[in-house]
Amino acid sequence: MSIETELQEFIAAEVVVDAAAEGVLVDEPLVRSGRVDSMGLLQILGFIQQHYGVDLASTGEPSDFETVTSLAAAIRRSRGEV
Amino acid sequence: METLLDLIERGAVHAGAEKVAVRAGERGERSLTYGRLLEGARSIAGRLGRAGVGRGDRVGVWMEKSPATVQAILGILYAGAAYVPLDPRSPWRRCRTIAMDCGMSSLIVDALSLPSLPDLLDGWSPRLVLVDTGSEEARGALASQALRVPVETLAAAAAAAPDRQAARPSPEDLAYLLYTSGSTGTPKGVVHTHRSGTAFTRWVLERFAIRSDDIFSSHAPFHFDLSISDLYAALGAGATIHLIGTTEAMLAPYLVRKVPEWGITVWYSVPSILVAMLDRGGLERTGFGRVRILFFAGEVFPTPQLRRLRRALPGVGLYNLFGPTETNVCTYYEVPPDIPDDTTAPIPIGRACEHLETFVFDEDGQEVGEGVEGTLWARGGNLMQGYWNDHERTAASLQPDPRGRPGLAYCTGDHVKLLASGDYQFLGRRDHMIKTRGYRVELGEIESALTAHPDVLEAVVVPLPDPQLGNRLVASIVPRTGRQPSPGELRGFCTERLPLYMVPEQLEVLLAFPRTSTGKADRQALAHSWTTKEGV
Repeated sequence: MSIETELQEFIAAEVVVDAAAEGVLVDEPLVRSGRVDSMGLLQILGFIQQHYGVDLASTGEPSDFETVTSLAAAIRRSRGEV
Repeated sequence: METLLDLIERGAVHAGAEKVAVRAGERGERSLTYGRLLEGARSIAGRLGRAGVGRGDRVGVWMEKSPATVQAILGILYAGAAYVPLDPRSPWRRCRTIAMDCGMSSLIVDALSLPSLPDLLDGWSPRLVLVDTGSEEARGALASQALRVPVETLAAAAAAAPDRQAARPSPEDLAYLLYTSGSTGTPKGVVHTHRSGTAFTRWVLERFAIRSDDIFSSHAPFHFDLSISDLYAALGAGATIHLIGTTEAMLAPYLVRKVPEWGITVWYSVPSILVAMLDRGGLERTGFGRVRILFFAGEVFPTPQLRRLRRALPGVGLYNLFGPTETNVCTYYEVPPDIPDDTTAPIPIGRACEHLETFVFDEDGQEVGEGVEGTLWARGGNLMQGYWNDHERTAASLQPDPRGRPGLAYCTGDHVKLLASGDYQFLGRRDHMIKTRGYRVELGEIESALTAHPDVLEAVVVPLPDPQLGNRLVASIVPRTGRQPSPGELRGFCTERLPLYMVPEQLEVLLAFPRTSTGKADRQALAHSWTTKEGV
């Protein structure tokens, strides 16, 4: 399963308050749309740390948190895959 | 008397047209100089004026924070109207409720709001909608929407010829309406005039000797009253504002890295983000760059965490600013150079701001002095004009001065006690005072006991209605990073410090608290979660 799919599944199942039937799209603005709040952001950071060993809380820039796509790119960058 | 615009124009003369007034972005790359900010604002005012917007009208601002948003706000003030900042992350239905409540005449939005516009405008016809489109793509999306109301881009309005005939507002005109969540669930609009906004801003400028070389952070969203100081004290001094965006505002380690880079000298936020910067951001290791003044407000700062902050920033002026949106700040307290290790009680809220008067009345309607509990009242230039369209609520809050002096005073609903030092101690909100097992209990006192535990970062106590006991007490806590105190251990810790009836029956340990859009711990969400769990 790709990082994007794993993130999508986690966010749709555990984070978004209004989990719509279509789930979370890869390019959907997470925070700016109001679907992810500060607590949700911490949940996502915790998931990323646990599953990918990446501490985005300390190294990430705000642009990394915009969408599932940008989160996945930040994880790959931190793991030296890009 | 003067208006907020008089104040800003004086700051602009001091700063010079080429100085950056407002900026945003990771490197401050999006910016407006004083010259461009005010020129564009006057043009926006001209466009609003040609659409029929004028003195006393209310214009909504549903935008993320950006230099264009500040320009839009000033444009509304130049048109003589009042701005109504709407939470950019709130759903369109809430915006619509507010628009209907205040009879909003026009609206300024950004590209993010475009998909919601057809719903928001269904059956509502504002005189003009201005859209900060930002990109070609968004302009295309706007053009493709068949809206029945006049819609134009904000950029075109900001580039148009300013209307030289526009009537400037007077000090008594409305300047802004801030909607706060009412206890009934319906938002209530707190109305402030130029007079009250200016009175508060002048106090900040003078009391804290704000300088034109200061750089203000703007951490709070514009619908939160902390933004009033960020915007008008900064611009009134000819200083620079650095806007912190929604996502940036949540990332504590990022902020600890960036505040020194941005050269911030005046910081203002709720305690929550400062606690996160201490706990997860490493603020104690790195310091806070050039920050010389640090204001906090909106919540009680857990004393052990404030002690860490005090010791981490020895040369910085730390100030607890206190007051509801209705008065903006009414008292303030300068945190002393050290907070002893054995202090666990919250710090005082201090004394009245110099341009205000405060006093305390007890439940029997008697004015009380040192050492006696009562409700805090305030009067003076900062007071709101009232609640929009709610005379009953206004009359209940703004009352004839109970001491019999001419004029109105505001009953804050906050329980306080005057200390021998001349400072007020905050004892809690009247609506946080509950009865359990026949005792009157202040939830904040229990929260202070919990945050005194070395593993606890933050605590919220929730009362659950109970037919036998009045209320049962439960608590949610967030531990410090890497700590995992057990609920049993925490109850034991409370038992040593509180009477048994104040010890929470149940405790839960959370990764983080849900937050309101203003960054405070969301007590309603926590209560709802407990109620759901309990099946009450």
